[in-house]
Amino acid sequence: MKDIILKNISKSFGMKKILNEINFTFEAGRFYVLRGASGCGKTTLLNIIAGYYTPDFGEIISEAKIEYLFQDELLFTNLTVKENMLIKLYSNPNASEPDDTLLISILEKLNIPDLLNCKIAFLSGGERQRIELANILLSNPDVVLLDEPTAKLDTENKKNILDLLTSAFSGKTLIVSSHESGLFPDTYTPLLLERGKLLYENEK
Amino acid sequence: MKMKNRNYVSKLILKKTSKFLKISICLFAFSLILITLFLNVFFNQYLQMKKDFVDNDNIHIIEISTFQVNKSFSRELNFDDKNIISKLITDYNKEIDFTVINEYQLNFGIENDSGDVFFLYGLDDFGAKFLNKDILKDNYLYSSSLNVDKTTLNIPIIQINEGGLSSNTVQPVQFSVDSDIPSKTPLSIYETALEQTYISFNTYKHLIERIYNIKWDNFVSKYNTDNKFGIQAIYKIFVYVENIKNVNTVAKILYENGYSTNYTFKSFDNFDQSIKNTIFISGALITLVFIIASIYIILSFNSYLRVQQKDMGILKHYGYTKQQIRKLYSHNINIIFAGMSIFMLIIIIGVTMLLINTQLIKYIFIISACVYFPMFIINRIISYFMLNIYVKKDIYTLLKSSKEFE
Repeated sequence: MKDIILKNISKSFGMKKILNEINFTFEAGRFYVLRGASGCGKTTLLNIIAGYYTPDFGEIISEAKIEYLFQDELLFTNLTVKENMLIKLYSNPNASEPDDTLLISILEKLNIPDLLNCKIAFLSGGERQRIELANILLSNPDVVLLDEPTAKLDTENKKNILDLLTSAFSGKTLIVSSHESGLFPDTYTPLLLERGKLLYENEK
Repeated sequence: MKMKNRNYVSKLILKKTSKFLKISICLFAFSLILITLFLNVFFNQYLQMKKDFVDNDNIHIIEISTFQVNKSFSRELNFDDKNIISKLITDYNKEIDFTVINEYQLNFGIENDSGDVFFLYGLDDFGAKFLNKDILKDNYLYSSSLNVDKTTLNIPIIQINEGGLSSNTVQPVQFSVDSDIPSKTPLSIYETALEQTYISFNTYKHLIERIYNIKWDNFVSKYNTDNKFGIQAIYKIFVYVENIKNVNTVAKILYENGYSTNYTFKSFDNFDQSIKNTIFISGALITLVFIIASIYIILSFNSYLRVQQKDMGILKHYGYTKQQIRKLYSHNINIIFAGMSIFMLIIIIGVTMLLINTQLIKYIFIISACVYFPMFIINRIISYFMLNIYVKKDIYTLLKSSKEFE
């Protein structure tokens, strides 16, 4: 089952209740955009879905392979793109050394085929984000969580990255958190996180 | 995770080893070199001390030349003194291990066929040790300066008359010669006189019997009561004390009981205490340097691992398990220690070959053990206990901690 089912998910930090008995099903193959004000719990919800946080109450039912793009950059900046991709690849105990063409084909999907042997430290913020997406593509997940992927980009790059996401992750479940409105195309189902509850935006 | 892949990822992570850690490792290696030097100097001193004192017979020997009867009169040594001396020492402390040796003499020189003159000195059996021999054979002359295999001595036959001693005849006696003895022996360190030719006690006894035409027992009793033989048969008595710690004590007992003594050890009154102090200070210094160096390297690795928290967080985010991350980092830590071990082995062998020239393998082994055992313990502390503390943290704690550290 590739759907992600949230059942009565609640999470508090100290006295502050962030998520309050959320019941929701993310259907496989659909794109979702998760909106809400800063501090409303978008990242917390993604962390719970990714398994990085444990909910105080409730459970998540899913057999999907999940990958998560943090808001903060998580790359080995002293290494090259290829070395970063190999480190990611070798987290799979059965992985064997890939051909460069495989790595380049993934980078091609993200329009950065020439960066394979470049050092991360010399790349721009947008390029680094694409390398992180390439790492995600390497493990061929069913579900991809992206925490504010457009937050640090200018308007043109925001549009580019959304186009890339649409083409690169076609057929996968995509859950993107964002505090921006009017940016995402209609292919994304808009969700709203408000006062600890998750709603379809058009239901509000 | 495949071994090849693990080695590749470890190598990539090791690339990021901080300059601070590299400097710390260099300083730690420098401390280990210092310790190696300390240990070498310490063993060098120990071997020198052992050679100069413990294994040096000169240090163990007390020479007795006369007996002081009162303030104004001293007498020659006689045949009873050996027993008296033994009893004095045993009565003081039965635990003291010692041997008393008589050195006998004929006061006159004896010519051989070539006209060379020999002054003969008889030694008790234990004296063979000081000529580097197991036993002193009968009818042998022991002299380092004789270059012949055999020589014939013309032994004078002495008659004791009322007016004194006279000798009209000589008897030729053939002796074998052993020249393979040291030119200076512990028995002759205070001698400035003519070179001594040694013979066994039995040979001396037979010569006395032949020269004076008297049975040995008669000679001894007459010598002790009323010496009319015109010789001082007991030239010196030597006391060989096994443990150098007791030399001062034995010499003091003999001196207090009237025997005039000579011994090398007189100038090292607190030798035993000095040795203990040297061992204590050297041991304390080595331990102190090691403790400081160990704390420093452990703290340095701790700082290194704190800096690495972000990388550990990334690895966890990439899907690596705690066990995999622990293996990756412990592999790197082991590589650093292995490199240091090889470097130290070269240093230890080099320095030890330079400073110690006996039992090289034994001391290289001891010094290596002294250096490697604590290194091994430090390695275990870092790669098990410390590493586990960091690897156990969850992704968010690792990333948050690394930000705080940065």
